[in-house]
Amino acid sequence: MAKRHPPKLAERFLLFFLKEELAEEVLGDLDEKFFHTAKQQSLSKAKRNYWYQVINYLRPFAFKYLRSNSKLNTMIKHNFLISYRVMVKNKMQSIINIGGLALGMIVAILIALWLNDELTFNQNHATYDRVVQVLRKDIIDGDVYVNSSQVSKLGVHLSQTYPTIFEEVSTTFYRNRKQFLKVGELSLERLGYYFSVNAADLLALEFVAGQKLDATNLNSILLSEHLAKTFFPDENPKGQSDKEQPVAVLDKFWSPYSSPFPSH
Amino acid sequence: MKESKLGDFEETILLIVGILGTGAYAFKIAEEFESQTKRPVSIGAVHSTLSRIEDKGFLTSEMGEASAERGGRRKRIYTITAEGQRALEKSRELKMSLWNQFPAFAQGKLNFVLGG
Repeated sequence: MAKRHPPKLAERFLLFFLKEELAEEVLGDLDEKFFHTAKQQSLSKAKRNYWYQVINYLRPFAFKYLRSNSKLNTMIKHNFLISYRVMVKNKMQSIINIGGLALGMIVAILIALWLNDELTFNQNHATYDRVVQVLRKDIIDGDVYVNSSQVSKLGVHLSQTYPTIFEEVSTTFYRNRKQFLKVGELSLERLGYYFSVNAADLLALEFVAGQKLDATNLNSILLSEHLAKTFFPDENPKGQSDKEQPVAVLDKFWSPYSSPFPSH
Repeated sequence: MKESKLGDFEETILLIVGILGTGAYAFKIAEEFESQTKRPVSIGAVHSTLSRIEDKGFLTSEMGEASAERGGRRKRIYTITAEGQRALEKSRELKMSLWNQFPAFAQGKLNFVLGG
């Protein structure tokens, strides 16, 4: 007589995924089905049917891995409820507590933003790591004063006396001042610097339009893109000027607060 | 909210549980379903439905006695609850009322067109 036992492999597979508490009744039912089919029909058919029944137990309700034993959700909900009740009960203390925390966070974030601004100061210049600004330090009655105004000819002195230290020296008027600009009917007053012609290279200013400044033309002017668009809304600003000044336009607009060399 | 409507398959299974009385367990219910409806069904499908109906509160179950052909394992016997009975009656009333409103049936002149 052939071996009258349900296929071992199918049984093992069933027990692999089935919830433990269902094992007894399910195995019992499948055994009964197996012996019933084996008696009524044939053993091979019973074995095939056993596999079919096992596959059909692959259902969410019977799957042990789909059910979590964790009560994490309940715990978290409970914790939130308790904290809410405590907050409602001790209103004043909660307000001071949470308000203080919020205030502290606000201050910390503001400090971080400010620090970040300071640390990235002027880094939009490609030559950032090689450019220095020479300042003058005066001590008057024991007080220290730092000033950007220098004696005249300091630029020439620096580039001739220390050529190994200063590859290039650019001088500029010691403070920006209002410049009167006029194109056609439109006349505007804007803050601007006078500077020696190599300043654009020194600061690695990026040009959008126009030509490089050359030392021979003292009337050259450098405009920010913003200002150029105000003056020449529709045209290429190159060569557009009252006094036939060459015009060059920068692709960025520096406000006086972000750069010691504002260009507008 | 827990679902408390009876589906068609659920209703049939519930009725079969009622028919089988104290002998209603998954294997027997599946057998009865096959012989009554001539439709094949797996024990797993029946078991899944039974546990769903039990969740809805229309059935209760407890472990019954063991028998030799089950390898000495016990079976889970299902019984209809009062709520289950009410659900069945309500479903029957609804069907009857629908049938009674169906004009051809209500007048006893239900004709079926064969072919087509």
